[in-house]
This record gives sequence, C-alpha cells and structure tokens, in this order.
Amino acid sequence: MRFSLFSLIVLISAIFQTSCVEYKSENNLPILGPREPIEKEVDGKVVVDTIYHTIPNFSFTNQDGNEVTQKTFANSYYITDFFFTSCPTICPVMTKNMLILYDDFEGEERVKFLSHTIDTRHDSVEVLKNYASKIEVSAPKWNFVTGSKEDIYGIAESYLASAAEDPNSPGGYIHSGAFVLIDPNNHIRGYYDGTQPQAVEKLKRELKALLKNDEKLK
Amino acid sequence: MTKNLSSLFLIVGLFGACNPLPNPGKEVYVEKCQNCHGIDGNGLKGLYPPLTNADYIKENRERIACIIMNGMEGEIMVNGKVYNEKMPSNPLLTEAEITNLLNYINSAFLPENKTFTLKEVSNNLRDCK
Repeated sequence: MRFSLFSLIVLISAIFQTSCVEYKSENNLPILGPREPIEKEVDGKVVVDTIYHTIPNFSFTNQDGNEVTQKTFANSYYITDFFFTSCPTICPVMTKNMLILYDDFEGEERVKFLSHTIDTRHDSVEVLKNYASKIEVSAPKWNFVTGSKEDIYGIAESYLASAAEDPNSPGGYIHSGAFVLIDPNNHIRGYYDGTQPQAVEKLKRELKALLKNDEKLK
Repeated sequence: MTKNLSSLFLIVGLFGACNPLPNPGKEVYVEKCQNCHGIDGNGLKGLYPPLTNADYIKENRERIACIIMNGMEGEIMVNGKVYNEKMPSNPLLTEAEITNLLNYINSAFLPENKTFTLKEVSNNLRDCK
C-alpha cells in the first residue's frame, strides 16, 4: 500500500513537472546564447542592462544568384541549418523534415527558411538551384545560400552550430543536424534536432505559439 | 506484495516476448539506405528515387547488387521520372548482407518481386562492370 501511494505521488509530480516545462517552453521561449551585462547611469542611478546574443550582419548568395542579408528576413522568424547537397548521411533527413515545416508554414509570411551549404567548393549557385527545384521549393521563402568558406563557418559559430571540414567523415564534412530558430530581432529562440521528427513537431508548436503571442502584442 | 511483484515481472516478460524477430536486412536498410530512400521507400521528391514499386529494380534485377556495392552516378529513369544524384558505394557490405537487404526491400517495397538467393547475388557481384 505504502509502495503504491509513493508511486502515485511520484507519477503525479512527474506529470506536473513535464506539463510545467511544456507550458513554459511554448509560451515563453528564452533568448539563447551568451549574455553581457552593461552598467549605465539613468537619473543618477546605476542600472544594469543585458546585451543578448544577436546574429551579426551577413551577406550570402542564394540559389537565384540574389544577395541574402538580414533584410531578407525582416519582420520574420527564420529556421536555419547547415548542410551540403552531396551529403550522404543526415542531410537528406534534415531536408525531408525541413520540407514538413516549409509545407506547414507555406501561407505564413512571417516564417522563412535559410539553408547554408558548408561545401562551398562544390555547391555553386547552379547546384543549389538544381537542389531546390528538385525538392520543389523556392526563394524568398526558402533560401539556399553559399558564400566564402570563412563567412559560412563564421556565421555557423554565431548560430552556435558546428560546421567543419573533416576528411574522416562520410562526404568530407562534419556538422550539426540542428535547426536553429531565429526571431525578428535576430535572437536565437530555439534549437531542435533536425533529424528527429518529434523535435521538428516541437519546433512547429513553439513557433506557432510565438507567432500567436506576437499577434496578441499588436 | 510478492504476488504483485511477480505479476509485474510476468507482464514485463510478456512484453519482451512480443519483440519482433531481428531482421538483418532491415538493419542494413536503416543504416545505409533509409536516409535517402526513406522509411517508406518513397525517396525524396525529385532528389532521391523511390524503391516502392520501382520499375528500375525489376528491369535491372541482375545489376542491383552491383549498384548497392559500387554506388552509381548519372541519369536514371524510375517510374517515369528522371533522377540524377550520386549514390554512395558500400564496399564493406558482404554478399550475405546484400542478399538480406534486397529481400527486405522486396518484402517492404516490392512485394511481387522474386526473392534473391545468396547464389544469385554472388553471381551478379562477380559480373559487376
């Protein structure tokens, strides 16, 4: 008897805990990344402001040969990842999962997609164009971009995602399978494993909650 | 209490017994093929060809083992659609693994296709171009 009462309590608290986490994560996504406190004086008093981690300016070229910058994503959320077209391992799964999101947010102008190639030698504008048309997607909704190797690897660091050349990996590159969610203020709001359908569903739910919240604030 | 515990073990034991038998062909499929050709065998839009009811597999039966082993490049037509991505090679697969894999693909995606034997696959692999 004592055993079952104890398990009941454990079970109930577990349910409460998970529901609590879910509630928090969907309606109040934190801003991720390093923060910097800045002290300043307002009316003679010292106030501490927080500088949040922000994605710096960038400029890449998309599958249509057009320049893609922060302006491309003005007033929008975007989901970004790092991949390469000849990747034999996780990229096809990431592309398939990104397509699920692309289809789901097709009519939502406030949501866009940005895929960076990490194989800048092979993945030219033409190769990216070919890839995008084979999966039947187009810019400006979904931008496939290339640029200098330094710029791509540099921006990957800003997204706190990893991307590097690695001769020992299949295809020659190692990279994270993360989908990173960026808000209209260029802040990182979430990381999701782009290879896991459940994580992609979570992204979908959380992004919809953010969009709904924004509507309320208007 | 002891009785409760033993019924718990019995239930857990029954669930264990329900686990399906291992399917070695499926294991190879999940590791080597599924990322591109998909869990459902439907491929990915115009990028990766489907295996499900693929006429290409039926028409190129004697070449399929070689394609799995050595990969392939260039344009192919599958069920009326053109595909042109590079398929990686799998030089470390054994003849037995390829036979199991082909029979898993048959059972899952090409139910009418004739079963592959180890002898057939072994002969086909000897004639790879």
